[in-house]
Amino acid sequence: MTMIGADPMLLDVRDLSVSYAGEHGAVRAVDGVSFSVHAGETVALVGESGCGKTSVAFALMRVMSPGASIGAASRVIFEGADLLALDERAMRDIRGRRLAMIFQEPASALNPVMKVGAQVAEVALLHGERSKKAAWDRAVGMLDRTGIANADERAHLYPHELSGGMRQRVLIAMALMMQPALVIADEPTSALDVTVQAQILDLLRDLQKETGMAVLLITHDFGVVAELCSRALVMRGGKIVEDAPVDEIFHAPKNAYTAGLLSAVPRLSADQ
Amino acid sequence: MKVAIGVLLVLVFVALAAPAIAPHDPRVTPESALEKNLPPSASHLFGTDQYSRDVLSRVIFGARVSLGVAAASVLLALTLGAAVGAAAGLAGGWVDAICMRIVDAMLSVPRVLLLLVLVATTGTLSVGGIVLLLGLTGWMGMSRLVRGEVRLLREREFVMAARATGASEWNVFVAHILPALVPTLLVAGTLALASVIPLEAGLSFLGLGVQSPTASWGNIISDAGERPGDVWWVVLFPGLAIVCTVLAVNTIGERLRERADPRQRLVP
Amino acid sequence: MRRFLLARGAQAVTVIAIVATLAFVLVHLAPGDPFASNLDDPSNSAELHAAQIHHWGYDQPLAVQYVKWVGNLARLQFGWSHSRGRWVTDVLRETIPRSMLLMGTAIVFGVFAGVALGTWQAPRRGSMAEKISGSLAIVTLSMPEFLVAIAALAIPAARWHWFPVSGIVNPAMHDSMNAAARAGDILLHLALPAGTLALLIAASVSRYQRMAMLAVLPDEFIRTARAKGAAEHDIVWRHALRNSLGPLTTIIGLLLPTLFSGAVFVETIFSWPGIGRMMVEAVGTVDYPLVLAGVLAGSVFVALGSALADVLAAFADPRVRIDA
Repeated sequence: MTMIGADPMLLDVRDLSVSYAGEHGAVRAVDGVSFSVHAGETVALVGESGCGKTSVAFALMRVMSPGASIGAASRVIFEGADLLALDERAMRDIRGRRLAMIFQEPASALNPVMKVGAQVAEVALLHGERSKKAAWDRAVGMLDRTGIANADERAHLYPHELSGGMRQRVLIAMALMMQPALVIADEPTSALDVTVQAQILDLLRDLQKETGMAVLLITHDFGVVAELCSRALVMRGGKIVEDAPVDEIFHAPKNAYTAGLLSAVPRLSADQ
Repeated sequence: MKVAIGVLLVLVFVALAAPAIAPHDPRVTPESALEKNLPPSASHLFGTDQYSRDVLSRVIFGARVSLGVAAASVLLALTLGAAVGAAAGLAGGWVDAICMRIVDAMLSVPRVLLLLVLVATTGTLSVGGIVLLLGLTGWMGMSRLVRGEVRLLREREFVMAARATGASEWNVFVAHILPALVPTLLVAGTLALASVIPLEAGLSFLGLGVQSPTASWGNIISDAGERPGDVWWVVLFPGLAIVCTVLAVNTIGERLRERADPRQRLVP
Repeated sequence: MRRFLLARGAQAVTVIAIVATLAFVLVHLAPGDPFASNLDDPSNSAELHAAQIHHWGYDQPLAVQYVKWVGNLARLQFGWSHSRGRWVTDVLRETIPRSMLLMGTAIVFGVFAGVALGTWQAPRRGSMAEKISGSLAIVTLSMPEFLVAIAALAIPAARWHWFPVSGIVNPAMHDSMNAAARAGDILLHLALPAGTLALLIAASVSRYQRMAMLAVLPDEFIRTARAKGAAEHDIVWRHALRNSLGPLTTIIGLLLPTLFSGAVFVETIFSWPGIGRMMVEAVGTVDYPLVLAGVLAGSVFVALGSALADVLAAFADPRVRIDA
């Protein structure tokens, strides 16, 4: 385990397993994964599609699809509490407030019949804000911080009236509304155009600097890893095969699979 | 599914063997008026109606009429629907347009109203007449299904190939298109059966369908008279027969539909 | 949008025109005439019978009668009801609002209950409560309308005397009541027939609503809501419900013919003096103009109702694109 600085441990995942009930018995998507994230740190979870990255994210949030189950030996210690042992009410209190998530597909992750402002404001209302007016104002402020121009007008629009990049900004605003300690960003840019991708990554980096949150960035793109992260976890077939600082991974990958993945990526220098 | 088939088989058996099973004559009123509106007992398991007739025997003979009328009228509707649908689908053009406009119009009239108009013009009907009316008001949906299917099939390779070998349109239809329609017709027919049974019962209940003393499940219930709560057995037993039949037929129909086309799973 | 409205309106009018023609042809091709039953009365002579036929134009060529009929329709004149001794238009003016009151109440309560039940069932799929309530809905759907109506009549009205058994008002007392009591009297008479129809609608709507909710619940935005910290209750009733309601207006449109058929039986059994009962009586007395007017009113109701449902559906969802 590499300790970076003296920041306290924020998330400690031990022996996490996730299996899905399939037609031919249970299929194990995540198989005994262990890692940790420190406060303020940006960690990448890298791997090809289908390697179990998203299953890890859903398990941490406990928002899995029906039919998925977490292994009995798994532990997810977040801010000192085992998330897997919490009752639903206590977990709801943590979701969106201390632990938030940015989803992959901004087009489908937003409720199509609710104004985007209301969707952002809902987070505040769910976590203690009493006044609808105050929640709305906070939502507009948050949308503004994610770089949406005329946020007070755009908050009244529905998701289908916004561009892909705008929708992703809305999702980010939703995730950051309560200043969570950890944000899980699941492929936050893969559904976007290349130029918009860069803007969203810059935004994430700026917001992280402002708020000091930790980010678990799930991606298949080593370019993104190089851009944002200090440490990377490489996943394959439901297991973590490499856990090292990004510089080390780019210059001297220990694992042959990681080396293979890197060689398949168009060269992007790590010291950029 | 097994239960549904079992229920249906029992009902069909009861209908066929009615004279052998029924404990009493369903039509004849006993001379003693003392047997009027008796609740269920050992001698009359389902009680008696206001004309002292044995309700069990009437339900058993009613199965004959109700199931028979339903089956015959669905066969008629299937034949008509297949004929109109095939004609429209094969001919295309203005024939198709006119047929489908008429089908649309007839489908938008509640079927009970269509039946009421027909009964108004014909007056009191024989059992055969009821079959005719139910058939005449039941073919529209089927013709639409068949037309769609025929138009799709016409463009399929095996039909094209048959046409290319010089077979006449009629031969192509009989040899290649008609057999391919069988699953669709089977499913449509089964589901139509489930909707025509309550319809016949309703007409007979209103006194516009099967006429007493011939028993049908619907007119047995209308013999409960003005205060059905006091003679619940006259309503309950034929009512149960109707509901069980409809449930069984619907279950079978839905299952057949899933088997015929798994993508087409519709809402019950 | 305007073209869609025009096209949908034209479609409804075409349907009504075809129905009017078919019904007319059918009734006039049939054997028998509307005054045949009068001959049973010995005081009616054959001459009087012929005079009646002539007076009402039943001896003229079909084509002439048809042209007259269409012309009269355009002026909302449906002819003379022989059995009631009144103008058909006057009869309709009384019966249509009563049926609308009955069916409107049934739609409001039935749709509300059906949506609530289906929405409640979807997240409980496979549980005992869902299976039992779902089976009850299916059994209700398998019952002929008249059977449901008889059950409602036999138990809460006739046995327990909670509700009046028939009619639209209390004939003995109604005229001496004040306005509020009159309204209450009508509501009391309305409860059972409207409740019966509402039950049938609710059973049907709940099945569709359950499917619609099951289609929405796996959507990604539901997971987003859960990740925000929303409770299951909020997720189901705030996020999923609103997204599942898209097809609802269309489904209500599709239910209208069934609703009208149901009203025929319910009105007959509860002696509710609406258009359904009027039809059944008109058939019994071979009152052609009344039967024709009833069928026309029924198809106008269904055609306009489903057109309205389609238009509302188009307006309600800004994402729906109409290619008309």
